[in-house]
Amino acid sequence: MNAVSIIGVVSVFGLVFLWLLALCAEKGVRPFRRAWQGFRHLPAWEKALLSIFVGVWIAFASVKDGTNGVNQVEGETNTVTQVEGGTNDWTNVEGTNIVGQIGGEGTNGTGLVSGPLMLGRFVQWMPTTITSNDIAQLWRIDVTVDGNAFAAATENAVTNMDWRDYGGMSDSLRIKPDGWRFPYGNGTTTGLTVFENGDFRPNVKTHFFPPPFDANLSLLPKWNWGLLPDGGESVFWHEHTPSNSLVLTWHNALYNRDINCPTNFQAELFANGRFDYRYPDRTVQYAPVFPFDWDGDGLANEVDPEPRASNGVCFGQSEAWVRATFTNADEIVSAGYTNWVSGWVGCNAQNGRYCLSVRFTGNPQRTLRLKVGRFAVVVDAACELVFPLDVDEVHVLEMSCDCDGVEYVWDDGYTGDAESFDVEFVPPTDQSPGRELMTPRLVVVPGELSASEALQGAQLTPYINRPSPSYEWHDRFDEATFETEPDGSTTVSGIGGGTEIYVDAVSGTNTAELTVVVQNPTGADSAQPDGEPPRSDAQLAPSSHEVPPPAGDVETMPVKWIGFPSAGTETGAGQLVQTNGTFTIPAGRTCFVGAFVSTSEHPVWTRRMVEEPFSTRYNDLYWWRARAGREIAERTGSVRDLHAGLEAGHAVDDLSPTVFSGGRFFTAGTNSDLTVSFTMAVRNADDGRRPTAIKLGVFPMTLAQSNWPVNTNTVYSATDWGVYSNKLIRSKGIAYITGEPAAPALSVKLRGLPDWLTTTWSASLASERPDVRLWGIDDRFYSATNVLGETRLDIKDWMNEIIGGKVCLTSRVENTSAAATEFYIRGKNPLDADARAYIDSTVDEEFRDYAWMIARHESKQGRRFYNQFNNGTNNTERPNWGAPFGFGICQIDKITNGCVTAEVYNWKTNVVSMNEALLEKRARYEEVLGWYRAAYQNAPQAHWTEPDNVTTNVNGVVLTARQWAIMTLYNGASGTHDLTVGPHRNWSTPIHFDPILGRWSLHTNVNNYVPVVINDQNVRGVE
Amino acid sequence: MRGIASVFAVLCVAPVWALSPTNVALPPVAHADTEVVTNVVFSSWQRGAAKFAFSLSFLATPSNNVEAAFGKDANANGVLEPEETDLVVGWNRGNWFVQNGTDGERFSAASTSMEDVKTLAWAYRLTAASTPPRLTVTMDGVPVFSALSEDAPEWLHRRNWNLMRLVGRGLHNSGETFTVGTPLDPTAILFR
Repeated sequence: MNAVSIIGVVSVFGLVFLWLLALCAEKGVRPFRRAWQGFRHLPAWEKALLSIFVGVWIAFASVKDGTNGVNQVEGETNTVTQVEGGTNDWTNVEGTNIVGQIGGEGTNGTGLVSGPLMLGRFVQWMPTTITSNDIAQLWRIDVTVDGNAFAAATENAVTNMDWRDYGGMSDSLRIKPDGWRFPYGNGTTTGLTVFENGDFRPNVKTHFFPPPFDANLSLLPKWNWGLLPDGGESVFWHEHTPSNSLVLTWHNALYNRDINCPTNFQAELFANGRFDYRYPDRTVQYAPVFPFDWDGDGLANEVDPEPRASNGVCFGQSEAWVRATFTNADEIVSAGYTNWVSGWVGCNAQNGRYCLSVRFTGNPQRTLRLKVGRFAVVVDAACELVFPLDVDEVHVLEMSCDCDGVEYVWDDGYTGDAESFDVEFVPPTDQSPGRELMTPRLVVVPGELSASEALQGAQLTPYINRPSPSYEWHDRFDEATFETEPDGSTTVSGIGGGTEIYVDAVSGTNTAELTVVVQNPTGADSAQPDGEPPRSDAQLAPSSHEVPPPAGDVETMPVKWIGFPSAGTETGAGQLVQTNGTFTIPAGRTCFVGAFVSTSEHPVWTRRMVEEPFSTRYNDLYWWRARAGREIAERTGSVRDLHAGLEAGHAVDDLSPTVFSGGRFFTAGTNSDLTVSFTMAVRNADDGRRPTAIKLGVFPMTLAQSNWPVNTNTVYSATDWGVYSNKLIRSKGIAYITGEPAAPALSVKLRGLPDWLTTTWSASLASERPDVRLWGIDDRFYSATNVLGETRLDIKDWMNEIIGGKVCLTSRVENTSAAATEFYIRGKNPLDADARAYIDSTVDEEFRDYAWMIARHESKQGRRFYNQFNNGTNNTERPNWGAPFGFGICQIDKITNGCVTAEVYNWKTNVVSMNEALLEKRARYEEVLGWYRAAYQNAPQAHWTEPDNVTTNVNGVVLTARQWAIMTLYNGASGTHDLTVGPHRNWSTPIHFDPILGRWSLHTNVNNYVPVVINDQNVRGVE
Repeated sequence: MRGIASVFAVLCVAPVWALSPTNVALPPVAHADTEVVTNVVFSSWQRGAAKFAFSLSFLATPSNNVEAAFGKDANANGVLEPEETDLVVGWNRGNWFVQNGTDGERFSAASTSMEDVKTLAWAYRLTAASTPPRLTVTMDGVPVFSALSEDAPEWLHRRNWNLMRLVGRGLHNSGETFTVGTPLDPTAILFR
């Protein structure tokens, strides 16, 4: 508005004012008449000035913003941004009915917000457009001005009766409908914590949902409902809908606790992660932002001008998905998608079409995107999805995140159960999701030759020994299994009866290459390189076999030898001979896996003479590697180096011709097996001679406790019940100090390790004492070197003390890399009767009447007594510690240096220490008594008497003053009688002598210790 | 007597030694939703204290709700937020309850008292020998919540508690008051 306009407006309003004044005066309105007369008699310059002032005032009052405290939205600022390139999914609410509702017409400055449904104050608060920040918060927002879009309550709606009765603002409740689930962030919640004030959260500590208002809501108690402008109920109700959404509704809730501003609000949370906020005039939809490109156009959502594109994000293969995906959607929808796919593939048809079914057996942990070829589907629940696949194309299957419980079934319409695809799993990397490649293997020309006709029986024979066996046929199949007859020498000559031959077809066009896989009778896999003849049983047996554990051993895992002999045709220098396979390590187990190369005849451990070309480049280990979810470094080495310096003809007594060429440890997960795939390869010697065997040995680490206390009572399992067994201690497992007490009789070895290899063992023990970890006084380190082969190492002798903690056991075979496995040593408690008997027999005779009561009280946990180790649910079987420094069944409390190791882990030592403490307390008592005696025995006015006959009855137990004092002092004198024994010296004493009355009095300490101890003796224990 | 004193609560939080209370008033009911709240700073555990005790006593009706929530004021704003709350003890429409502030697990017990004014006494003991803490709760002298008594769950007390929120809801008349008192000594709190 420029100056000319202002002057014009002022002039107009001034003149209008003067005209009104004159008119009112003329019509006889008295005040105006007086004003008009006064105005007429003013000087001219005053008339002009007054007119300008009045004009400015009226003009300003007419155009300024509203002043009623409401956030008046001015015409220029209430525009809601048009987003996403103006697509029609985003509602443009610029200057339309929203403005009108909150401020009259929005520009006249007279807008008032009142009435039963409060609208205007929310407008600036409610989100209206998507921003990059919204995407970062994992949702995108749509606003629809719809008005009264609330879902009505059905008979399944649940009204909260608590809030109806007492109203309020800050109360909360937990809602957890059966079967409801809602994905958020990286997780899923199955319940909500809902607050009266309109807030709701996945759990009380997690803020996820945006606040619906900029102020609190509150509810009225029912007796105040009459205060509402339009009456009605002020309630909260929720409903779990048949579509598995959850509706939360605040009805007639007060905005900012203002009785004049009741409003309605509803939130609906859908199982796919979307949630809607419904206000009286609009619905705000929060759609989840999924961690993938929504429309698959390669542009991240944050930078994609149309992140939803035209095909949108559809959950599952709904009609919406079909319409967004297919050009012939009407046809497909009419037939039903599954039916259409089935008909498209056909049955025994010759169109070469395929389909793939992906079945999610459970709800994914998070909403994911599945893409097969050109088809993309968003998956948020258990379902089965079907994708048509075109012939002769490679279809890439991708999922936006890992997901368990996915099954694939493919169908080609021809052979029923036969599999049609080569599915190759490509492990995920940091940059890309995992994917599977599916390629139809063969070009299909059906009906010319059947698999069985082409490959059965003797027809295999010509191909078995060929360097690159191949066969042409004109039918398609993927895998056929043939069980040969025992006398089928012409079929599988040299392999032996009963051996299975798997014929595997590989991709190609009208040509299938054959790979023969031989499975030997022992059950372990052997691989034969291309072009090699089959081996005899005699050759195969020792090369791949298992050595079962001795009978009666705790060990259940056999030693495994995996490999194959390679004696026979010498096919030239430097040729690679390789083998591969897998082995599995059970959960919680650690195994050493070593690679060996043998140069002699089997059995591999025979003596032989060193001869040329042994000392030359004979059988360099080329490489071997193993994969267990990840690649390990390729290892190379030279066998020759190990034998350098030996002269030809030297008798090798201690040197096996089988050479250890490296190895490493593998440890399975605590609760999951570990399957390791490996490949070994060895080059022939320079003269072309082959190694006689390359083998992989799998040697289980066997850690066992022979005196492992058996839980005969699972409720009170921290007690040693006197039954022991030989127990295998797995990784993260627990060995026990017995209730005797005795250290765990632990031993460890690498079962099956050849006796010409040595192992270095070491163990570090870190205390689990809560008080002295920083001091390290219970930390230990042990080591043993040059332990031959599978020699057992007795850890009990090694450690030579009763001690517990977390043990890190490290082993190293030869010069390979070391590996560590962890286990714990914790403790069992003695039987109550055993503890009592030992205390009675150990403490000074004077203390026997009550020492056991003290121990029983000091270490009780619930109704379980004499606990050297914790017997409850917290820190179970770790040292029983009590503040500030107490340990063990007597809670020996050494403030200065803390308890020694034996006091923490050996309950008998703990009892001995209690006896020492009681002796010290007795001396303290004697000292106090001596002070009184010296002070009053011969004092003129004192009526001295010894306390020998002073007794007290504590709940039926008669104690002497001496017993009272010593028991009290065991717990501490704080709170007892303060006795001044010098100018600057005070004692606290549980006994006190009044010299005037000649009487002794007994004083309890702050813990009322003696009565509490006495009371506890009457509590029946439960071990 | 349903006048001014018709709704009141008494809550003491103290170690084993008692302290004399000093009263501080809660604001009267000011909103139609009837909720009144106060946050009280306190020290739940003095060094060496072995007992945490309080009692709630007020006119408990089948339609009102009184809660005492305990926790640490992590954001130091003087208000005990829901996410800062470890323990809630209170009365809810005829039942006493104890609630885990974190996961919402709630233990309830129906009141058997015929008196209008009902009392819940709470004593949580941690012995010097660190035997499992023991909780003793009585409602009008009757033991209750025995499931929590032995091996009391750890959420029943925290040494770092420094703020308590007292909430009343469902107070009938504007003439009723709900006040809170606290002694000057930080180890004891008295509600009235």
